[in-house]
Amino acid sequence: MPIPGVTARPLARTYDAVVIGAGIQGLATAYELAKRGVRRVAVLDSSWPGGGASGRNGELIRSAFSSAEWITLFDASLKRWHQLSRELDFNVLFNPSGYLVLASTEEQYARCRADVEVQARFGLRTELLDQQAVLDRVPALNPDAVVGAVLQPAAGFAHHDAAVWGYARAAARLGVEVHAGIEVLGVTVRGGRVAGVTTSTHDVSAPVVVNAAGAAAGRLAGTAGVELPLDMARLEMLVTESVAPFLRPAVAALAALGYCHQTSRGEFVGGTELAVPDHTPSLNGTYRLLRDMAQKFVWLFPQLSAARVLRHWAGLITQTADLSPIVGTAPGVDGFYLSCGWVYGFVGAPAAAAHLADTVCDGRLHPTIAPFDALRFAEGRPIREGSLVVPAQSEGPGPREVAS
Amino acid sequence: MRWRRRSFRAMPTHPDLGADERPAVRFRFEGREVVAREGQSVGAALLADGVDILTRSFKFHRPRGYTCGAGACGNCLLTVDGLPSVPSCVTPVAPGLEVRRERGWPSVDVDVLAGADLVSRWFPAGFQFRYFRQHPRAGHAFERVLGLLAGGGKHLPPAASAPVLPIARRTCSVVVVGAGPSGLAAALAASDAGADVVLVEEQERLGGRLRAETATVSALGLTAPGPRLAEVLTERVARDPGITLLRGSALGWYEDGVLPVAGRDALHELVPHVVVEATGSYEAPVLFAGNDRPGVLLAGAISRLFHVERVRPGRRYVVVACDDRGIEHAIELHHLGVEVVAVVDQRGADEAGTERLRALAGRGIEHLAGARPVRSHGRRRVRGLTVRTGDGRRLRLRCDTVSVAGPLRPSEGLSLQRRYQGENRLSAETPGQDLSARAPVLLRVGGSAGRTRVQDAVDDGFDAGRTAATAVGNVAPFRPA
Repeated sequence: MPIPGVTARPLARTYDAVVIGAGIQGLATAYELAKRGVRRVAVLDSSWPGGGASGRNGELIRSAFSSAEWITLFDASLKRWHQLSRELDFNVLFNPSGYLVLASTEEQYARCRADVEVQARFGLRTELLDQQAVLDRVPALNPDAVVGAVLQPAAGFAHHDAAVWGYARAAARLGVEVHAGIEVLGVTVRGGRVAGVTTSTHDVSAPVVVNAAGAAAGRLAGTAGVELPLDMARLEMLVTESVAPFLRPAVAALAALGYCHQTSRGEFVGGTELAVPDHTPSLNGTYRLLRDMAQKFVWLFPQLSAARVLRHWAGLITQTADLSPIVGTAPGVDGFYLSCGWVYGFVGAPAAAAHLADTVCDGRLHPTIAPFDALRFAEGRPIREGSLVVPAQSEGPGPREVAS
Repeated sequence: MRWRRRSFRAMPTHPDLGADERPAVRFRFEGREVVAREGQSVGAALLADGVDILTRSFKFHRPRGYTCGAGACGNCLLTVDGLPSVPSCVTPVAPGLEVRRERGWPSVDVDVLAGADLVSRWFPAGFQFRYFRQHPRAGHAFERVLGLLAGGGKHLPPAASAPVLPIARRTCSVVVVGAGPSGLAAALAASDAGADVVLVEEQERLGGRLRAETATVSALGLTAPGPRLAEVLTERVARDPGITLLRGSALGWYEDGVLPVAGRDALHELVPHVVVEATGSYEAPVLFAGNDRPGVLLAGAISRLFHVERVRPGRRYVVVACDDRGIEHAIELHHLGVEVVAVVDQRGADEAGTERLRALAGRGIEHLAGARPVRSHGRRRVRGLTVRTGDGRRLRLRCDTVSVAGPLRPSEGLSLQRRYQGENRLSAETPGQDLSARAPVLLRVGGSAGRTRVQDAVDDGFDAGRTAATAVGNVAPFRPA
C-alpha cells in the first residue's frame, strides 16, 4: 500500500537538495525549500515519514519560554501553527486551548513570575495564575500539586501524525520526492563543500544537504567531519482510553517532569521523565517509566486512577548540553545544513524550517535561527533557557516515592 | 417485549447440568432492580433480563451487545459502581452493584446520535483531517462538540473514590499466565517438579475453556466432562503449597525482568526466572455487513452462556462455520434444545467430514456448503441473515441469533511483546528445547501455542510445567540495573 506523500519514483542520482530524515523537521524544510523555488528536492528516510520522534512526541505547543532566543524562534512557530491547517490544506487539528506551566513549589512559582515578566517584554500574552485561578480552570488538578502557573492562552497542542502527513502531502504537491526505506550511510564532502550522500541504494549527488536525521543526526554529521555535541535520550509516553472531557489546556508540570493534554476525542496523552536521563538507544517502552507516568499523572489528576492505559511507547531524541537545538550551517562544510538536537522539535519545526530554507536560499543566516548555531558550545556561549521541563530541574515535592 | 425475551432466556434447567440452584443476586441497573444468579457475569445477567443493547459504537453510535463473552471485544463496556469501561461479560454480579450504560443521548436505548450511522458516508476514515482545513476556528468548535460525544458518558469517578493500589514486589521461579486448561496443568506440573509457582488469572473462576467443554477430558488419571475437571484442577491448585494464585492481569515482561500484574488489591511486580504463557486463544470474527448487530455472537460466547452463565441468548440460530468446530457447535446447540436453522459453512461440500454432515442431516439442520454470510438484518437486534450459497443464490434466513464460529487465533500478546524487547528465546514447542543457555525463558503453551483441542492444551500444559521447572535451575535471575 502506498504511504501518502511518499513518492513512487525511483531514487535519482542527482538532486538540487537532499534532506536526511522525513520527520517534521525534514519534511517542513523540504516543503519550505520547494516553496522558495528549489526544484528537485528529495527527502530520504530509513523508515517511514514520522516514524521517529515526530510521531512519538507529546504534541504540546507553546512559545512561553524565558530566553530571548527561544521566545523569538518558538513564537514565530506558534504564529505559523495557528495558520498551518490552511497553509498545508490539511487539518493538523491544532487546538489553541491554552498551555499551563504548573508550579508545585514556591520556588517554581517565583521562577514562573520572573518568566512572565520576561515574556511580557517580548510581547507575549501570558498570565501568572495563583492556585485558585489554576483550579478554577482545571478543577481536576490535585490542589496539593498546585501553587500557581503560567498560562499562555494562545498555545495548545496539535495532532503530531497529522502535522507530518500534512507537510508530506504539501511537499509532494510542490514536487518534493519523499523516499521511505532508504538509509543514508554518510555525507560526502569534497574540498570543503558538500557533494551529496551515500545511501543504502546508491550515491546521490546534491549541492545542498540538510541533516534532520533526529536520533541519527550526530552520527551522520560525523561522517562529514562535523562533530556535534549530541547526547541520545529515550523518552516515553502513554495514552489512556477515551473519557469525558476533564482537561482543556495542555499542562507541563515542573515537579513531575511531566507534560500532558486531553485530545478532543477524550484520550489523555502524556509523558514524564526521570531525574536521571536514560541513554539506552532503544524504542522499547519500559515498565520503570510506565509506573513513573502512572504515579505522577495520578498524583496530578487523582481521577485518572480509574482510567485504563491503551498504549505506551518510547522515542529517541538527541539533545545538546544547553538543551537548545542546532539549526543553521554546518561549520567548515559549505552546503551542509543542520536541524538537529531538538527537544521541543515538534513545536519549533514550522518556523525553524522556514528560516533554515531562507538561510539556504539567501546564503545568509536568518537572524531568528542565528543564535542556534553549532559553534556556540566550542565558543562558550550556550543559550540559557530556564523554563524547560527537563530532568535538571527536579526538586521539591512530587508524587510520593514508592519503595521497590 | 423485554419480558418475553426474559422468560425465555433464563434457563432453570440444563440438559446436562440439571436444575439451576444458584442463589439469587440482586443489583441495580439504571434505576431498577435486576435479579441474577450467583456466579453470573453482569453482561450475561443483563442479556438474560432482556437487555440487548449494552453500548454504542464510538463514531457512528451503532448498537452493540454481548458478543465475545471473554472481555476482549469492547461491545459490553458498562459503568459499574462508578468505574467506566468495565467489560461486563467477565465481571461477576455482586449484591447492590450499580450498573449503567455509557454513550448515547438521551439514552443508549433511544439514541438520536445513531443518526450518525445514516450519514456515515460523509464521515469516512480520516474525515477530521480533511474537514475545516481552511476554517480552523469552525473546526475547533466542531471538535469540542465531537469531544463531548466521543468521551460520551465515560466520566471518571470523583477523585476521592478512585483507589490507588499499593505496589508489592516478589521473586519466584515460574510465573504461569492464564489459568485455563493448559495453565492449570502447567502450574500443577511445575510445582510438582519443585518450582515456586505464581499462577496469574484475570477471571473469577479458573478453568477457562474447560468450563464450557462438553466432551470428556483426561488429566491426572481422571476422565471427566470439562466443568467437572475444572473443579478438580481448581481444587488441586488451591491445595498445592507450591502455587500462589494471583488475581489480575499480566501487563508484559519488561526489559529489567519485571512482569507487573495489575491485581485487585495491589500492583504486583513479579521477577520470574521462567514464564509460561497460557493465555489461550481468541475467536476471530467473520466479516459481513452488520456483524456487529446485537444477536451476532461468537460461538465460544454462546457455549459459555449456555454452560457457565446458564442463559439462552435466543430461540432460532444460524451458525457461521469455517471448520468442524462450527459443525460440532451446531450439534451442541441442537442438544441444548434450541432450533438451528442452518450451518453456513464457508468450506466446499467435500471438505466437511461425511459423518458430521450426516449428524447434521439427522437433526434436521440444513448444511449450506461453500456459503458466505452477506448481511444481518434487524434494527435493534438480529431478525435474519442473508447468505450467498455455494451456487450463487442469495438466501434470507430467519433467525434471532447468529453464532459465528470463526478461526481461533492464539492469544500471544505477552510473547510478542517480549520478543519485541528482543532478549529471550521463544518456542511454541516445549519438548526438546535447548535450555542450557542462561537466558530468560518464555514457554508458550495450549491455545496461545495454536492448540485448538482442549485435551491437547491440557497435555501441553503438563509438559510445559515440567520443562519450566527444569529450566529454572539453568536460568540466571535478572539483576535489576
